[in-house]
Amino acid sequence: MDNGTSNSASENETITLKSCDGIEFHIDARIANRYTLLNNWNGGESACIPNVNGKVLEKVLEWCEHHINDPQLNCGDDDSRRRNTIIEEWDENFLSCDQDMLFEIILAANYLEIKPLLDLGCKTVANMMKSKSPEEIRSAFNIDNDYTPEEEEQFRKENEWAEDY
Amino acid sequence: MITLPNECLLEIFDNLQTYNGILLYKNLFSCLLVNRQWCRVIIPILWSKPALYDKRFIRICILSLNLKEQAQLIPFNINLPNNPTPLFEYTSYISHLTSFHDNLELGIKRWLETDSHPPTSKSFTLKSAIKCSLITMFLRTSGRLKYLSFSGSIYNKSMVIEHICNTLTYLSLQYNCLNSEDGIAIAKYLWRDLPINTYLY
Repeated sequence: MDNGTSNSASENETITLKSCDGIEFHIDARIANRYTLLNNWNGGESACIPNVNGKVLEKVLEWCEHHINDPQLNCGDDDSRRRNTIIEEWDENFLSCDQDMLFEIILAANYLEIKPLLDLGCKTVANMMKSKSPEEIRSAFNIDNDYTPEEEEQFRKENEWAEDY
Repeated sequence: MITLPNECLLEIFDNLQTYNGILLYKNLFSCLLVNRQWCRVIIPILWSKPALYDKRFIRICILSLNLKEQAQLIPFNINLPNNPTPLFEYTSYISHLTSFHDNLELGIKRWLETDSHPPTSKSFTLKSAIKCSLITMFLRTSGRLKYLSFSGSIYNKSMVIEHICNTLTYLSLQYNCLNSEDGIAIAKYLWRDLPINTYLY
């Protein structure tokens, strides 16, 4: 059966991934085969993943496992999928975690080159920013304002045409 | 908040620049004012396809004219804004300039109206001269201008033609009143460049 995953690994094969803090995960080899970077580390029975801790890797692998049978996107599909801001219910629940975890997932997906998860995380954050003022965004994401008041005012004036575009 | 690298911010902001397939910059404008890092990522997105019809956009562009482009407007006795110097070289990020329904003319007309320039008998020529200076400036400053399309006769043909740049992949000059000599001059500037689709009506 063609489930859209082009790999030769069977369902029973597993490999071991180790997070940067030494936590081991035994995963379906098809997951590793599907994502280049995970696959690259699959040199032996276990592979070490620097930069991603156990807590985050567990979430990332949970997502990969749920989406193992998703059709793989062609380059041409990528743009239309990215423009679609609707998020499936399972994914929405999956990312209803605390904000730090959401950003950790985005960082990990970017680092591990798991494009659909990166898109999903970025879409979720984008939706959280919609229709908010700069101050509301700063407070929602706990971001410091490093503009001087004069600088902020000048940036506002120079770009205010965009507000009504 | 965990600081995300620019490549991730770019992905996030990419989701905010359209609504149902139509450009919508309101959300990006808010994000731009959040902090400096976000600003640096967003400016190139906003200015890639700007709103030509907006007088506030035209005002910033007028500030970017060089002495030669300004000199062309001196005989019309209009007050050109000269400060403050823009914080970015915004026009260098423009990739698409399409004056559909004479958007650029509309922006210039609105700018002239609001900056209290008295109507003159030469207002048609004035608008045409401003348009010419702006297009020359866009061609001169934009390192990534790919798509240029506008219509109407060109006030100072040689000034525009000599700035036709090698980043263009599409050039359309409609109802331009160019003669065959101008056509040859344009061809000469295009000749040095990569093959492009050119339409001269």
